[in-house]
Amino acid sequence: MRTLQRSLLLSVFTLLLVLPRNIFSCGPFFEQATFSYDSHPDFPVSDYIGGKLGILKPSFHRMFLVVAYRNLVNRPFTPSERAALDPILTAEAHYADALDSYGMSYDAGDPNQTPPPSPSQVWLSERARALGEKVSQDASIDPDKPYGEYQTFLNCPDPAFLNAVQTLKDREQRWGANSADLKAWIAGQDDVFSNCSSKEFKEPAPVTTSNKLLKQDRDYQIAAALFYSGDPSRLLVAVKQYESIAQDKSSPWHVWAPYLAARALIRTATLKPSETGKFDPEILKGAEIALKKVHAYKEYAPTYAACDKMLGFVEARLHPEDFAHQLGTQLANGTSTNLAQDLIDYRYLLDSGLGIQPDSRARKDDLTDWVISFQVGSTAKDHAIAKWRETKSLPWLVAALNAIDASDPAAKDLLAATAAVNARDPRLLTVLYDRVVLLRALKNDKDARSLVDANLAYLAKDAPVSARNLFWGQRMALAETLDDFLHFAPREDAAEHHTQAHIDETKPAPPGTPIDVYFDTDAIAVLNHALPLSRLEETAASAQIPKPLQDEVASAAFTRALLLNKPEVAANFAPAVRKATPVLAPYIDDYAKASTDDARHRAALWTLLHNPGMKPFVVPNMQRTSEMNKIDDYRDNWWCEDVGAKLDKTTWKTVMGDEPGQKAVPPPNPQFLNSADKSAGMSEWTALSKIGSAPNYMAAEVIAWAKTAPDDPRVPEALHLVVRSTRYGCVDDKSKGFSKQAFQLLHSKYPKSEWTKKTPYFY
Amino acid sequence: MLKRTLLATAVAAMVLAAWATHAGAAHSRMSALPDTTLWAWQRPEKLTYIDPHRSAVAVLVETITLPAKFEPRNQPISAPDRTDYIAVIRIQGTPAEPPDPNMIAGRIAHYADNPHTRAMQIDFDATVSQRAFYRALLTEVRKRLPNDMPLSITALVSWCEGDDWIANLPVDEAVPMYFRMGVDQRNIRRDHMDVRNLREPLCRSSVGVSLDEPWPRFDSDVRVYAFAPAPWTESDYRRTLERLAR
Repeated sequence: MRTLQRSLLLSVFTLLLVLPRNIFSCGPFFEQATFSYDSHPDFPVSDYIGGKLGILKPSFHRMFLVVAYRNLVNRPFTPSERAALDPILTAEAHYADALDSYGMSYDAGDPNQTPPPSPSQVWLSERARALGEKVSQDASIDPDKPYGEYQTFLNCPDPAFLNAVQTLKDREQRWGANSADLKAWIAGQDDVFSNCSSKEFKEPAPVTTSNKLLKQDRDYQIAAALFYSGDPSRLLVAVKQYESIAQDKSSPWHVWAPYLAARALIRTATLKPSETGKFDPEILKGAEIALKKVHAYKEYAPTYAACDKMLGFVEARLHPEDFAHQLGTQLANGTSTNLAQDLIDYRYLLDSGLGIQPDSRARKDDLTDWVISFQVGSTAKDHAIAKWRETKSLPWLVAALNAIDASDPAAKDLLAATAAVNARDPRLLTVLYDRVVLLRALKNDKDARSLVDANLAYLAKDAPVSARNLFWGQRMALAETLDDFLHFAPREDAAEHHTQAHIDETKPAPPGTPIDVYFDTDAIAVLNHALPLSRLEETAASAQIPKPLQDEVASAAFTRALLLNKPEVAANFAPAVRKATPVLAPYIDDYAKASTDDARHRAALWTLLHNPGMKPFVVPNMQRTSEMNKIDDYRDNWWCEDVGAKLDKTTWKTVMGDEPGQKAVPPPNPQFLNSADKSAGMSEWTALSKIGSAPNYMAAEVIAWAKTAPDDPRVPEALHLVVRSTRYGCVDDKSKGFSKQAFQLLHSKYPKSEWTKKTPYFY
Repeated sequence: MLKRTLLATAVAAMVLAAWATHAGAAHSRMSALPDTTLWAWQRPEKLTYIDPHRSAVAVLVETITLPAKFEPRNQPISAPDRTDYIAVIRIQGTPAEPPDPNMIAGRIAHYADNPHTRAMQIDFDATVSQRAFYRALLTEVRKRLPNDMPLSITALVSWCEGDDWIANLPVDEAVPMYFRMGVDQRNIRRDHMDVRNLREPLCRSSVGVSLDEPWPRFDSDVRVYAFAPAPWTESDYRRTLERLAR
């Protein structure tokens, strides 16, 4: 007995510790459509590099603005330049997306691909193979060297290991697989790589051998070990060692030795920060001289490109403003000898804040001046207008249009200038778009509408999705009829062409790639807050929007009709809702059968309680993914107290300020509605907005139902579902009271009901 | 009857004692650190102006992309000599097969050997299918850390409200991250903006906020981890302390 008691106690104790306190699965990731990229152009960026610029935004990362400038000044990139830029700009676009989403770089990796072995692993494998050994499982070489409290720097880059592998194979062939010389060479290389991450320096021992090549290799290995020591004083010895190797014209390493000596100087300078900077300027100047000197010798031609890259690193630190100006000039006029590297260096310099001051030396060239002016917008308005008047160039037209508003005295001149450009030039969609915006701001809706309409076919076929959606937004706001409004309401997902169709982002999506469309917040505002049910009926049947959007409207309007007690309207939507959501069919039938207002109201409540996906408004962007009659694990169930008035945005940036207390968006006033429609729409919205959050509304109504019709067999279940809604629905400080009332009513009046047993708590 | 009452009392006492021991140990490990922590992320950070008695620094020391890509910190970090550092390891990636948790744990735990490290923190938005791996990893990391070194994790707010999967993880705190919440932010801002009411006790003692997004409500004794969207400045730091009234 005592054993049993102890066992029971232990079980109770264990259960108390392990039982979950709540049960609903979760996960943080939702898919959302991107209607217009803000930080970069659409994929594939090769289209953009080729001149299909879409609508330029000041928020584009600067690399993209450089490419835009080159196209706008009509200096397009050559095919080889395009090929060089494509991977850099694709990576930049991904980086921009990660930054927008997470505020940091993010590499999710590719779950479908096993990454190739790192060069250091390849070296370990080849080394083991040459020695006839097996690579131990935990063998690895950490290429990063600790520096400071938590910092590391990349000490041994991948090419070091690849060069070692190549040399190993060559020496194996020359000296024989099991030769003592090869083993000595490998031992020397082991010492070299032991310095990659270790704080303790290990220098390969000098060799006494008649093998001249081995001796030359060993000299090189000693220099490399000193280089990887991470110790400034040893690095200076490495410089001497490399200089000595450069003098030995028979050494296979003499061609690269001057470059490596310069790199050793750079490493020394950056590991010896001065009082005021991040490097020792005197040592860096030595590297600058050494790198420039390389070009004087033809024998060093194989190292020119690498030296130029290093020279860029040095110049960006020693003479940042002048170097930015030099790069800006080269990038603008197409004289870069290494376009990709110049763009990387230029971006580094501008991202560090160069050129922001109007009198900065870095801003002396037109490109840098334009990039900064375009990005700062109205702050540089006078300058942008003056530059446009002075140059009449397209970049400055774009910058001036971006900077002004309709009240500016220059607006009319700029508007005239926009009329003079070829609207079908793929470089100039920005000008066309700005013209539409300016016309609207000047209250010239007629011309704005005509301008978009005149280019509709072109925009529909050739504009990037991000640009097309923006045009559609402008045109939708100018709609004169409901059909016209609906024609421009659906928006495509700029990312969907590639991500959902699993198409490589670097390649164009094939024609005919299926694309889903969604409503954005501008269309939603009109549908939810301005259109009366009568016009929503037309909307749900309109051929201007695809079936899924028709269904969304029908579902929202049906729910709205239930809440507003408009059975004849609900009946009109019922066939479409029944077809799109068969699970609602029995509820629709019950509602239709109800013959009194009370019966209909209870049937409506019954429908809502059982279907957490029901909302009396249309939701922007992608929809709730849970089934209509299932609780959504992320509490996207029914509606909140704002009844859809607060429109959600799609990125974290746009919700900044979305704090409690924010006012709802004022109802729009579309010009295609007559006064009767507007009045009906306003009246419906006013009634709907007073309903409050779904759990509170349903609770109040069901409690009243239970009091007036306590014998209705549906009441216990309805009370149970009310309590459930206060757990999984959108709640506020009143919800707990409602939850408790429903709970107490259920337990006091229906103690034997199965629904009472299923309701052990209130929330 | 008396026997039953005694038994019930004994059970209650045991549960209370177990809870108090667990919570107490976790609390005491973390309580040695200042109650405001600045996250020093993937960029150079010069934090020489902070008061090390009032603020710690959680420094991102390594980013691990699963299955096995390791990127240690390459950016400089500086803070006053007596600063308490929390070494943060970010884990990302969703490979088809999770790697060996022992291998990753070894990589993480070696940061505990750094004499400046006062605590460890792991930042991993594990998907549902990665939870078993993450649990095994945390268990292994905990084993390898000195007993008195706190182990913290960042947590999606949905973990703190959701299916209880983090309840028994061997960690001292789970920091609910009230920023960069993706689409989930709508629900979180609507329903879960009070740290005191989060269901999971591990989530109630600390909070992660960003300077550029709305903050949730939390008590004055909650440990705050603050993220800046750009490198920290002294005025950012001062404003953060003022806003926290610390």
